[in-house]
Amino acid sequence: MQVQRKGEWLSATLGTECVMMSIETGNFVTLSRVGTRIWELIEPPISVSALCARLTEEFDITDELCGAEVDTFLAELEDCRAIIRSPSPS
Amino acid sequence: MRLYRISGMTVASEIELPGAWPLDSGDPDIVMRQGRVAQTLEDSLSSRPGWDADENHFLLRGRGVGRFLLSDGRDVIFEPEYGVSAARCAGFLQGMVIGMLLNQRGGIALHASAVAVGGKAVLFCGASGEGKSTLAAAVSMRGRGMISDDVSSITFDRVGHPFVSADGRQLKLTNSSIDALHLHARRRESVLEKTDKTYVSPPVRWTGADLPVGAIYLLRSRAGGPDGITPLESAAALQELNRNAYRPGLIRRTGHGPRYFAASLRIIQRAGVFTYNRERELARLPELASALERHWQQIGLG
Repeated sequence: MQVQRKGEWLSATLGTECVMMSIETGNFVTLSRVGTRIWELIEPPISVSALCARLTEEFDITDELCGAEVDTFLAELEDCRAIIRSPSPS
Repeated sequence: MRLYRISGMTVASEIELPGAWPLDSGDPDIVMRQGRVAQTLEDSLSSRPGWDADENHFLLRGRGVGRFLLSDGRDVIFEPEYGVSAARCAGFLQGMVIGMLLNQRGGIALHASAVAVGGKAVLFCGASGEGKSTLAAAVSMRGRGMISDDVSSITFDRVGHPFVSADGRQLKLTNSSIDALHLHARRRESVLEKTDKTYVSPPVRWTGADLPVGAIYLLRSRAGGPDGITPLESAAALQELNRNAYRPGLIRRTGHGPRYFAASLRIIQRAGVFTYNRERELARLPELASALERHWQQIGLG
């Protein structure tokens, strides 16, 4: 599975959070420190497995838990029309 | 031409703008004239059923009212629909047209009423019908000057401090609010486009210099939470200020979203943003105004 950003977003760092607003829709998304790192890592597009591999290197988290947490987080971003998930090119 | 002060700008208008602050003289920043306006804007960059826009022009089609062409943040030509009086256009000219002119001029317009408190501007934001004007009038009755009603023009000084421009227009209040506040003696003419509202001369009017933003209250009735004033954390405050821009959808679609995002960020860095949950019961207005005054003492506005 491949993940990539969708649309243009404005962002501001407020304390430990990153607040983003979609230029197209006006939707808001607030990202934690880890969420902000994921947002950085999906530019350019990246496979979900490669994304999880980077996160388990950088944060103290197991592969299994990371996979589940990333899946939940990406689903939230998808609901906000912030990302697109698509099958990885074969 | 009649001259008015609206949202910090000097406006020359061919028609009377009821409720606006009249001036004797001045060089106009904006000129409003009646004339022919095309149905559409040629080569527009963005369009919706009610409007067309390009970089320097905005053509507004007000159904049942008329068409308005705004150019370069300065010139407005309006053409009433057949059978509609020019006076009927006045409400549009003072609301949506002024809001869009501010945008064309690089300004920021919040959907808010503002009062002067301790040398600063306190803003009441909220959806239409949430009671911005009524609460501002209740506060003004206690000696606080009304700065603006419904549309508040925000400017920034060279170091980024936000200010509210004095507008001085009359309040638009419902008859029930006028009754509750005993403002009958200050009642002026009816508001044409909304027959349940009447212009009311504010008890105290601020016509001085622009005032720095001191606090912003987001009015919420029956929000589910407890009554009272609660500070908003930064992320929520940023989101709410963008939502409470004057016509946020229009701002986004005409490409002004990034400016409003940046402006909102500067505002929340320099002024407190609070929610004010309360029952919208007119009999409680004195109590609600007292709660605000206590809060101003707590946050040092006095």
